[in-house]
Amino acid sequence: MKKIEHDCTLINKTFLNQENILLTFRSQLISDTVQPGQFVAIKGPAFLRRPFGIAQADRLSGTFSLGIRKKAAGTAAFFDAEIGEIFSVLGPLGHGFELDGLETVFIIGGGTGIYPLLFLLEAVKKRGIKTYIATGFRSDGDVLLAEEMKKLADGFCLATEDGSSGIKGFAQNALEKLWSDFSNNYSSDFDNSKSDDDRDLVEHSFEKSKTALFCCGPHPMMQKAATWAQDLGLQCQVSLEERMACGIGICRTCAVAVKREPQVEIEAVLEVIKNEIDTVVVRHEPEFDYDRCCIEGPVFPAEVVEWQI
Amino acid sequence: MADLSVKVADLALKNPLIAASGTFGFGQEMAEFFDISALGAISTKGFTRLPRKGNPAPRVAECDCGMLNAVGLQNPGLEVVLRKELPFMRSANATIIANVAGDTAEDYIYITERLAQEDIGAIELNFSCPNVKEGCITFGSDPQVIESLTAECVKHSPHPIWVKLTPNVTSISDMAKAAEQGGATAVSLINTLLGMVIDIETRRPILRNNTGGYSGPGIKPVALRMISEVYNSVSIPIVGLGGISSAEDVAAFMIAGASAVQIGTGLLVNPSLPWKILAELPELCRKLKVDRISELTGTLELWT
Repeated sequence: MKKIEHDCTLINKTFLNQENILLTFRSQLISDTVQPGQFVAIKGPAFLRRPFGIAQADRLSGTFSLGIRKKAAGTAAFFDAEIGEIFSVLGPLGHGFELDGLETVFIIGGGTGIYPLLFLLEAVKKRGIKTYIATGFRSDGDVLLAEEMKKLADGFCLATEDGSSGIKGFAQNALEKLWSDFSNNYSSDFDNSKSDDDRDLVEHSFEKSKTALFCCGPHPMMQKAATWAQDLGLQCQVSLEERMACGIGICRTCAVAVKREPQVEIEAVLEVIKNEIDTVVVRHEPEFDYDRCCIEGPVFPAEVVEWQI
Repeated sequence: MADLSVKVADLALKNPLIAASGTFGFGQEMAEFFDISALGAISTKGFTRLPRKGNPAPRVAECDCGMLNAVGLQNPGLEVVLRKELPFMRSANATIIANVAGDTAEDYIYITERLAQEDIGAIELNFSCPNVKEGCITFGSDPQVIESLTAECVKHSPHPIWVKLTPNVTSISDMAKAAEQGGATAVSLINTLLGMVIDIETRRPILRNNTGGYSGPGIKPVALRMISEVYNSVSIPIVGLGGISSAEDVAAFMIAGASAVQIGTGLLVNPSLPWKILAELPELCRKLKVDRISELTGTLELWT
């Protein structure tokens, strides 16, 4: 049987700004097994645990880090945590980013969504995947992890809404800038506007099927980016967030609306019941299904997500 | 070593700890991490005749001493439960309490009939889910309906029938008496208290369903009071639940009148809680000077 609950010692605490903190905990098991996009659920003074995406994991030192923004009392309590304090942590939890077969990755993030993307960035670099990252914040003072990401990425573009740092605009503008620079330098093997001769002139080419967009941030940002990726024919994975109680799939509170193919055998069974007995009340049910953010997610293929809910 | 075995009417359990409905799924997720056969029994996620998708999110809102949920009975439906979930639970050697919900009286009777051949410990009629529009709590608030529907289910089932009661009524004792009259072998109480949590900035309830069921340590005093009251009103056994978080809580619930208990929200926060409590019970029995934990049931001495 797997071990899910760990007592983890807080070993480092770094303030990134007034409202953001990076906490580092010791756990060999979590740092050894965690995949980018996965999360842990940590118990503080509040009644429920709080889920946080892993921002860093280091097997060598057997540690992992979480980025936390002060939102309300539950998260604020972690700012007062003391080095040496022991926390009960469940993890690693959930389904992370799928990296297999990829050669080029674009990443877009904003707000606290930036934290799991740091771990993702480190993981894709280790695999030798080319990585371009676009981030967006309100203002210069809100910018997180820019230096760390710039160092790791093959391309980096920062946007602030007021233009006080990087380009003026949203993360999406930064993403589009990265993409246009990229597509000027590289030719797609699916790009029919270029002749074979043209293609030979370009040193590198890239395959759309081996290129993906990864997103983590506010819903509107992710929805926009996912549509953009779909229009370009790129696969896209999004990391979602939902209010959660257990984190391990048993309470079904962290519902994410998804489009699913109907399961054939279940549909067949239902037809039988409906025909058999007319006392059955067929309820009005939505077209989509609800997955668990904590088990099937938090990372979902963008095409299954029902954004309008 | 104290004897932890208990009986709920004729159903013998190896210990009094039952996983509460809706906080353990159908055991599959928990079985990856824990020995689910060590528990007295597992009450399944409440299931209905047809699959249900449940309510939109947010489905959970935290409050000071617990949480509100409004899942809305999301479940795969009877057919999948029969073909997949119950076989898994049996293969894991769990004692199954089948928690049954419905929109109509026919739903309850139909599911009860379909469970007749299944190897389960008991059926728990969920007359108390506060988060769906039809059935459930509407049935559980009317003693006449409780009595007649329980009687119908008893008639159609070889299994012990438990009735899970809602605290959102004027007199829970009247509901328990109705269940007893209908032939229930036990009553389980309490289900969640209907509540609301408000975001003062958006001036909206946190829950998309507006209201939800309050559970956790905050409801424990209410549960104890109601169990004590029901214990003095009916002669069928009580399965007690509502905010249990420790071995001491288990003892308090049994002293108040429970023959067995259910652990729910406590294990959502600390999944190992039932096993931790189980390990502590023998020592607690020694401290409370009982050889058999069942000796605690109903030993509360009210002030006169």
